[in-house]
Amino acid sequence: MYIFMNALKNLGRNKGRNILLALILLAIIGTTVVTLTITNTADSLIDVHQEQFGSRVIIQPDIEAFFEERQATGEMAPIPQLTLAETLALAESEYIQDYRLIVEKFAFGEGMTTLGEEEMNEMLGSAGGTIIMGADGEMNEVSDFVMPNLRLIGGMWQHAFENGERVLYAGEFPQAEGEVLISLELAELNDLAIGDSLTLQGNLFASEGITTQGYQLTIAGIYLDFTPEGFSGMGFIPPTTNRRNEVLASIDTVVNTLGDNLEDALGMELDVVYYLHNPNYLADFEAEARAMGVNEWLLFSSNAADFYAMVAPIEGLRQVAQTFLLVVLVLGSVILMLLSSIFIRERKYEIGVLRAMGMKRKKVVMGLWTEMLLLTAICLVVGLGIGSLVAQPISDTLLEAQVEATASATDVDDSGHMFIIGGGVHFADEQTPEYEPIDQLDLRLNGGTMLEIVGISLVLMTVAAVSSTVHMTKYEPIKILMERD
Amino acid sequence: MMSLLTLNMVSYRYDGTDKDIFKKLNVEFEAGKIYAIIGKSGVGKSTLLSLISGLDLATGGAIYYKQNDLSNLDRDHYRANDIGVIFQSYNLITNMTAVENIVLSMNIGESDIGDKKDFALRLLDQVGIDEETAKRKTLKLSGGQQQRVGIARAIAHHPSVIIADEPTGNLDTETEQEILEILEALAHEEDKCVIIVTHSPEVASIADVIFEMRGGKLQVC
Repeated sequence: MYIFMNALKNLGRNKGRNILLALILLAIIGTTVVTLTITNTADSLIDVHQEQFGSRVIIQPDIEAFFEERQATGEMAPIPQLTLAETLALAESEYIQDYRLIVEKFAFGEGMTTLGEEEMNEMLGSAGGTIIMGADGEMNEVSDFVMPNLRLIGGMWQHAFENGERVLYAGEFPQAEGEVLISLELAELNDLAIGDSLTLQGNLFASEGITTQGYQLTIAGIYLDFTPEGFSGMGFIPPTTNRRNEVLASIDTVVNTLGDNLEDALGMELDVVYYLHNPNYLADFEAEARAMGVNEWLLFSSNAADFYAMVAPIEGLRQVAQTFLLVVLVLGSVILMLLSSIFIRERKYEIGVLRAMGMKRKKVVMGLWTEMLLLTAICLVVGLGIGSLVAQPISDTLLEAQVEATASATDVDDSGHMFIIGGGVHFADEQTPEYEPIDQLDLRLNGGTMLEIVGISLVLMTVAAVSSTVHMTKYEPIKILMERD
Repeated sequence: MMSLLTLNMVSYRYDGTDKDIFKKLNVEFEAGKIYAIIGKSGVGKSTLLSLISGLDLATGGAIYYKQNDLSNLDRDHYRANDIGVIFQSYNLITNMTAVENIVLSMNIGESDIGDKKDFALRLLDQVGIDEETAKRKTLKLSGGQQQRVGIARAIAHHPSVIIADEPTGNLDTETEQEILEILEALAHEEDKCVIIVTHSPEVASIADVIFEMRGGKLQVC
């Protein structure tokens, strides 16, 4: 107990030295509070954004390279695409938070007239048999090929209803397999009503050849579309691209007729967008896909750049804070070590007297450590108070500079936006939200940060105390007292 | 009377030298007596006190305290409890008050006295330091006052042996006389063994036994 009391009184007895040490400690601890609070809050914010961001992954063929190679080798092959089986398997990946999938089938409505079909037939007029590329990549004239006049769309088309592009005009959304929605225009053109049956025929390009695939459907509802029917340079909108000719169904309705032939089924247009749990998972997700056998011509890309642009100011601030903390800790430790060894030399005589009076070496060391611990504790309390007060204004100032720096960098190089072709076209409106750089960081001094600060303070105290102790252990009382005499 | 401290064939050689500063000393010190060790400067008087006080170890022979070889004892404990040392240059902790110096000495010796501060004040009063002076930093005390504090500190933990190295070397004649009276009282009234190293004939005159150190030997005068 007397060691503690003596150490406590020694803080006042060695006022000058301790004030200097306290100032250094205070500067280090204050800086640590500010920088660690910034760093940890920034980390948390980045983590939260990583989880919320749901980075979109688009999988699309490298068209340019693919055709270059085909030209070079002279081989013919269909443009590679993700198979339905692969698409569904990848949706189950642990890296995937969510996905949007639309399966499209170009089909022919038996006994139906679709919008633009008449104009299309007039244009095709006297054209003979149909020549089409088979699954083997060869161009063949086929006789049993049905000319599609509409599109059967299965999957997650609901977003058009959610964003107001389409509304349910009558009936209800498809609930069971085989139920569909058709447009009001298509219904009126064919005098169709809710509950009526539709028969569609589609072409299936499988490895054994081209076959026709039939669908027996029931109209569950009718929708109204507020968007343009489509665009075309032909003076009319071809039936297969006219939005009013879209027959909306579930994925099961579209694909279940394929049975077990999912692996090599062609003639299905897949449009898929995956959302990762974390923007950093892209490489792992791609590796998983490659291991699954996904075609090498398919490229994986994400809008992670948007995420990094969004968190760039915070990331910059975090790096500045971390660098500053490192510099302060290293320099501070060196200064503390030097000061401690100088101060212990000044107290050499006192230590000599204590040892001559019979105080054991370990008790002298304990006394020095207790003094440092008390000094550190005082500086910790004051440093936490001051650091907490100044952290937010400092953070705001630094962050403002980072936001400006990020804005300047963006002005110089605005090439970060991704140009998407192929995959994800149905979800294009979902892919281009504005990601503003984060320009606000509300600092929180939580328990974890407090513990880190206490830990760093204890390490600093240990550095100073060890430095003192190392010097002190060299002192023999008789030599000290004789030197003095 | 049984010897309190015994020097048996004690020799000492400084590190890096090849000559003993004193050789094979055989002396016995008893309680209740004052011993003076005189001799020219540099003959090893203070070094002998360092050995007796356990601050250093003899390079030959042995020193026994109550028949126990000092080299086998816990010398920190020995210094804290059995020996009181009065230094010529006082060796007080200057940023502490007089009373704090005394209390610290008692704490180091793990004294079981309840109110140590009160005891220290009474002790200081006995050596001529009043309460007001006792509460001043020792740096601000005169040489005589500091030496009185040094004496109080040396006896605060009730040691059996008091060693004084030129205790009046820096003091005026009047103060010297007062200090000597205190030392005499410690030996003759409190049964302490007081060993004084001195150049001063006045100091030596209070001793019951006077040794002269010459040529590495101790001779009774």
